[in-house]
Amino acid sequence: MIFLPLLIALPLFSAFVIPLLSKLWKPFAPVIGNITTFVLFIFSLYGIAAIQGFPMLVYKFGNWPPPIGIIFSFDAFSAFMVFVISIIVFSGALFATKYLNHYTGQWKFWTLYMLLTTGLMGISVTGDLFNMFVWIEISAIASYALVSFGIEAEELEASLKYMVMGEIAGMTLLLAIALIYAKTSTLNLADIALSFQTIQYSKFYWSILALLLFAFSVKAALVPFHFWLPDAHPAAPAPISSLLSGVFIKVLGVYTSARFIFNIFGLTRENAPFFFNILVGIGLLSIVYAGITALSQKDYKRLLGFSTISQVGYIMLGLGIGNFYGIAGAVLYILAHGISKALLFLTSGSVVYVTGERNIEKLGGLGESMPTTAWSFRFGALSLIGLPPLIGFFAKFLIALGAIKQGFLWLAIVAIGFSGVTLGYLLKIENNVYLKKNGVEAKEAPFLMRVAMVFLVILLLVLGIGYKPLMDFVIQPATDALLRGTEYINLILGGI
Amino acid sequence: MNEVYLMLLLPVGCGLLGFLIKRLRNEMGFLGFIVTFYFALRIFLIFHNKTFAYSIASIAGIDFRIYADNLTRFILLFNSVFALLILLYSIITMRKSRGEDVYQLYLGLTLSGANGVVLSGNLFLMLIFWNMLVFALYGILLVGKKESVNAARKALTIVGVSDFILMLGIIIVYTIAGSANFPAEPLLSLNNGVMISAYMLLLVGAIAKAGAMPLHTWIPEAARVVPASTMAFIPACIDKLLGIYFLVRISYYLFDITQSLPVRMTLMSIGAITIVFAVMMALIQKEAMRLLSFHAVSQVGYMVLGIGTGIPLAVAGGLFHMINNAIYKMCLFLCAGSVEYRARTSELDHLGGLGTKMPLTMLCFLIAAFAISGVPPFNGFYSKWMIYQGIIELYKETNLWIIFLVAAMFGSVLTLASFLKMLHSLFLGERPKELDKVREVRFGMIVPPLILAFLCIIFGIFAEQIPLARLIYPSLPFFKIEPIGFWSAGLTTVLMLLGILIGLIIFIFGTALKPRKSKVFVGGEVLDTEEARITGPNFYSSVHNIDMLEKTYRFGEEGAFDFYNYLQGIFGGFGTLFREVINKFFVLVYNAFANIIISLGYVFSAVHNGELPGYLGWIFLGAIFIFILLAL
Repeated sequence: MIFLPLLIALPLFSAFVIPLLSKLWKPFAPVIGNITTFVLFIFSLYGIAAIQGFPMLVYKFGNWPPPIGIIFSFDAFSAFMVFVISIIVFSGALFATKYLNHYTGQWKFWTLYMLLTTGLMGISVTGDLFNMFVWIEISAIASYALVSFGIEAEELEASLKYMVMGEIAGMTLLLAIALIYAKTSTLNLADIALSFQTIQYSKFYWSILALLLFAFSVKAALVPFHFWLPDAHPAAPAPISSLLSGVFIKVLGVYTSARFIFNIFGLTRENAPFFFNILVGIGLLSIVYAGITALSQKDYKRLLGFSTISQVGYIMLGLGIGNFYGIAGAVLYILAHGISKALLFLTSGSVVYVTGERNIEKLGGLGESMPTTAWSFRFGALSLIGLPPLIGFFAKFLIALGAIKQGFLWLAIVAIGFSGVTLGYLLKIENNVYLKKNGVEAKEAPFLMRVAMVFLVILLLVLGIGYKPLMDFVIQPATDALLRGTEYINLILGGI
Repeated sequence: MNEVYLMLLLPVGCGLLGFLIKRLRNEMGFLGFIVTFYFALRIFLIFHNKTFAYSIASIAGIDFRIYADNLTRFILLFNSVFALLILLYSIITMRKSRGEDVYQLYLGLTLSGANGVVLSGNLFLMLIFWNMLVFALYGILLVGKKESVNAARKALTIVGVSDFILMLGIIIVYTIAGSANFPAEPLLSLNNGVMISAYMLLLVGAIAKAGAMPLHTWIPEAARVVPASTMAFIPACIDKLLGIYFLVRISYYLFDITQSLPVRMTLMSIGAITIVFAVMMALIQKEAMRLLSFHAVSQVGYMVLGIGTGIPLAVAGGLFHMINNAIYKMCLFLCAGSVEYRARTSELDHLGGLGTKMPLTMLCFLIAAFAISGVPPFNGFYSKWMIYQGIIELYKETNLWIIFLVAAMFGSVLTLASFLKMLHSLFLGERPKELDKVREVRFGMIVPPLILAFLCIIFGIFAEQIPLARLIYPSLPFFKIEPIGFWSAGLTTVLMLLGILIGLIIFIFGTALKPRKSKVFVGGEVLDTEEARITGPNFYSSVHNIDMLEKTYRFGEEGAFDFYNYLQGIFGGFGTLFREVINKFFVLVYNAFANIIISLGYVFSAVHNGELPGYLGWIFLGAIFIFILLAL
């Protein structure tokens, strides 16, 4: 179980080593960054293997028992999140190695990148509320800095707006933590859940839930809390956009809210249908609003940003449906959308790297000159739309199935129907950037960048074709971990 | 069990590896096909008189299962043998030609699909593999001259439409019988209209796969434009094996057609018509590949006729004819392909006198031509003879047997006639000057035809002992087959060998290969002998010119029998209707809808004005809303 603290210690260590060593020799930074992310990827696979057959692994710092000491709790949902994070972080690091030729002060990028990774890993495995808040702030602050990494006017403005809105959410979270601590005198998540059982459905309980839902919705960029995202994601360097869209908002927004709703607050569709309907509503609003808005965008990355908001809506929809299929669909969607959207942002980075242009109307004909990029884009897009046998199909299919089983046939129809809008805005990029002839001179992106994209394409295919083992070993245990509800308390506090 | 999966995965897997690793393409292909052959042989030995069923998945009540019995193992074995021979041949012919890189992949895909079809024990599963074959067929037809696109499209349309019809039939069977597994127990009887129509739908699928009239038209069209190895493998071999296999399965393992005379009459009529019409078209062709392709169609007629009789001996004969036909037709296509490879043309007008230059090719061609024409003691004779005997047996049931017999014999005679013409055009007669440098083809190209020619002889002389006793009769366990009449292969063979020996002596010492030359006198004009060369293609132009037949031929060449053309016309009409009326309406509706959505998008994105206070306002509004909903 030593790998649990290593998940955090390793990137944190790299973050501190990079500034020191890169003074000696510049390429240390990317080398260390790549090695770290690769090792994390191996760890994540090990984590999935380690969690098979165990409902929960607990690591106690200094061997203090849970309510007193700080713990890391690692169940199948955490393992799943770590897996997603490490995939995206690994491909992003590979891509950034070459992509950063545009920028100066590369070691700063790598330090921040490692810190961001640390924060994401920390959120996924921590079992302590304040600890979680710290990791959220670490990754958020790293992301503010990374968004403004280009230090042009546009980037700084985007970063400022992002920071203001992000910190409003952060402070709301802190307020909620303070209130919880005042009421329950504990910060251990399982202990809080235990205390909440006595005050279930009280005014206080619902107020805390509202505060948390607000904070996490801002982090997850759900409509109408999404305003920072369409500015921040395009402004960031492409590997960071890919990380932010692919996994950042899901860890800070979706993972946290799912953890709280199911395991801490112990809500299910049976005991709180009203609350779950709100989730469905928020999800639906995001899907519709952001999907339609994406149609009118002209900026490659901004369009993808709106697409992200719309797709996160699907995840919330799946959680809101609240039966096994809906939640499994949402969990799978985190993975499917993470990989596809990371891939799409990497292709945008590749196009920007070669042509220096983000306005899709000024691009054209890149399908011939940049075949790998173009085909990567097509695969990512097809997965996002939900074409079998790519992994995106199964996610959408499970969500629709869940909706039908829950009696929301119309919801399934809307969810599937909005694939048409997804198709619409992705075709807009395909037509303008890759098909239309516009005489834009370009050559294929450098080797490492192509490797990063092809890695993700292969994952899309392999996970889609290997849907059955993926479902058996990763998705189903993760879904069970959520559906286990307040059983979570016993798993952490009751022995081990 | 593992053998079964390997039969499905190995060919396509090795094809794919070869496609990815270009340097090892041939090695991969050979490895895959040889190992497939090895496993086919193992299955052949293991499943002697045993049946084997294994369900791989059961989805929505449909039991996707694998089934193997004597018939299966026999077809499997030949699939892999033929594929191996074709691979050997195509490695040389395809070198440095268009589509070289994907050719083996498609061969592998075809073999995998074919094995899958044969191993399926459920009609739905079989349909899936058949669709795989359609894909492979389309791909492999695209490898060829530029015009092969048209042929590929035609093949895709015909085979694809037949797949839909097949699917309809399968669904009817599934609905009525409650299971799409075969062999059905008990056999479904053809006693009502629904069952007969289900059988007919399946039949359409089977004859479209086998390439019988009227669903054959893509074969002659493809003949001119795709490599000889493609023609030899798919229309001549795999399609026949699978189509007839399926016909036997539906006729004797799923339904019991012996009960219903009208159904059998339909089947026999299709067979007889196919024999006669296709061979008459073949008679007037002037291009080697196209001529052979019409024979590929014509020979299906015998098999359908034989299987349609319902007489055990003729059914066995039909099945035997299937395997014989695959052997000699492949041999003919490969020989013609060799000639084309060396002479760079397959127009009969420009060929001739190659016998001395390519003796081995000629020998193979000669043997295969005798076999297809039904000359004893070669294999084609024996199977045809069994079919004739079966038809004669029909006299107990119907008076029409004589018509079928005449059609079959007439077809046989015309086949011999057209091969005399082809033999003359390719190998005998006077050689055009530009072909003087033609040589015998290389070792790898001559071995497959030699093996096939050898098989023709073995299967002819030892017909009763080897193929019938070991392959055919065990495949039809429900029939007790007693040979009718008397046929002594031994005596005939000796006599034939004597005849051939005499012929050979005349051939060597005589002038058969040295055409007689004499001056041409046309009223004072001096003609170059090259110009006055007598070529083969017009041997039968007098048949062509018979008044009534001439019209029929003209229609035939113009494609009046081509169901594809009618289909095209019908769909063209529908297309116009859709384009002009329905489409316009939908375009209007779609445009209105799209405009609304897109302008909504502009309205929404106007909210994103980039001003922080505005954004914060929205966020707080949202926060308040959540609070009102949840906490109050």
